[in-house]
Amino acid sequence: MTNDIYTTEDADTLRRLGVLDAKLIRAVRTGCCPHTAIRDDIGANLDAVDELGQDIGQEGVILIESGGDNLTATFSYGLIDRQIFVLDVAGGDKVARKGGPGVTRSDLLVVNKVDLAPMVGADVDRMLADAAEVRDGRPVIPTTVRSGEGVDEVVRWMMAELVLARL
Amino acid sequence: MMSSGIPLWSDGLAGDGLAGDARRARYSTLMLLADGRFPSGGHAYSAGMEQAITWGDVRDLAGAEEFLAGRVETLGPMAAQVAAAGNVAAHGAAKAVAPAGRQSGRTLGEDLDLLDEAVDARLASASARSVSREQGHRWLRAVRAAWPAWVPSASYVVLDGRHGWVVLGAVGAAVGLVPSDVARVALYDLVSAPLWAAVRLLGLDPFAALEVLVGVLARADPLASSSAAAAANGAAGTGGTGGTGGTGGTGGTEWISWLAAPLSELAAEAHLQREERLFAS
Repeated sequence: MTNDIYTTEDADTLRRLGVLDAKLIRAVRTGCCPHTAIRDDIGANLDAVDELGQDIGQEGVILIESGGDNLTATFSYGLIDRQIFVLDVAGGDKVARKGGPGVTRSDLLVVNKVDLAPMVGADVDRMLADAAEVRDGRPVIPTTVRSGEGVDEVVRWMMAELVLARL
Repeated sequence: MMSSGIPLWSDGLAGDGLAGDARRARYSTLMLLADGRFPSGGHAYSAGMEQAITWGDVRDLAGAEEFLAGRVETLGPMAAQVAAAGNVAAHGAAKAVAPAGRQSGRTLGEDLDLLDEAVDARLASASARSVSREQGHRWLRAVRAAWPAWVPSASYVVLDGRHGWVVLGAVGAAVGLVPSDVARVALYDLVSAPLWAAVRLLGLDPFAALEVLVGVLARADPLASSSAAAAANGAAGTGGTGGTGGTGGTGGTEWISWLAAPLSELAAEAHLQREERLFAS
């Protein structure tokens, strides 16, 4: 489920890449307020979850994408079971230090595009250490999704959390 | 048959039939329901404003104000009357032990069915009807979460899937509001959603927008009271404003305003066809 500003962008990308059956890709219109739609007023997303849940059944997993991209864009636990927050190394290595609820409270912090670090002068080790300091033991995984580096570890985390969420 | 017209409530501020504490609680309840932060999904609806802006019909605050005035003029009476009538029906159900003891002689579900059908008959756009039911569902979810004892599961079943104004009226009764209250919330919702959408889409000055909203609501306010009175008459079968009286007996829905906004309905259909839209309506 996408919560993008212009929903076709993300939905089209997902369809083009063929990551999922097109029927399983849904878009929620957020009225210019993607953060509100995932955090404060989650009604539209809850409706979409209800609908998609009926289609895919109890064994399915619903991935909800946030349309916002800043450090305070977090999900309401009235909507989700687990939250993954993704930082982009190319956005600068200060970001983890700046903190914010996404960095400090998310269930998993992914630091992505680590391959770009030398090109943008970012210190990945520094980012991971800054994040660890504010996360009170919650996991942090560095990845380069384009080449697949670190993705297995993210998947292992998800599978383990799925078991816990269904207990 | 003439009803004696025994009021289910008295709509005045001083004697609305509620005990002191309940009456005072009414105002905070009213504020909660009208609050833009009440989590009923309202923030994602522009009520046709996005399409009007796309078409170039609304370009600035003055244009937005005209849009709101048009909305009050056309859909306002229906919205306020349906909410008020839903409220009257639910208050009646709460007071009567059996349908036969009610003014209409029908169950609450049957009364609300009539109102639901009345809205269907008055909204030409399938998209507008579907949006209205979506909003009813979300109102209900939020109200039940906030007042679980007052909106029990049985009521949820009776209310779910209905048009937003019908739900608003009925849940308003459950939480102690009277017909003119829910009519006010309906009118507020009718204009505030598109106005704040315009603020976001056109980058309007929010303070200037607030001034517009105050004026629009002040001009719309008499409609809340007149709608409450019309709903009381409608429930009592004494005929409403310009009603044909041909529906016979108590509580037909002919009296509910038939004024419509065809351009808005076209906009709702056009909006739904667009991929690059920000708002759900």
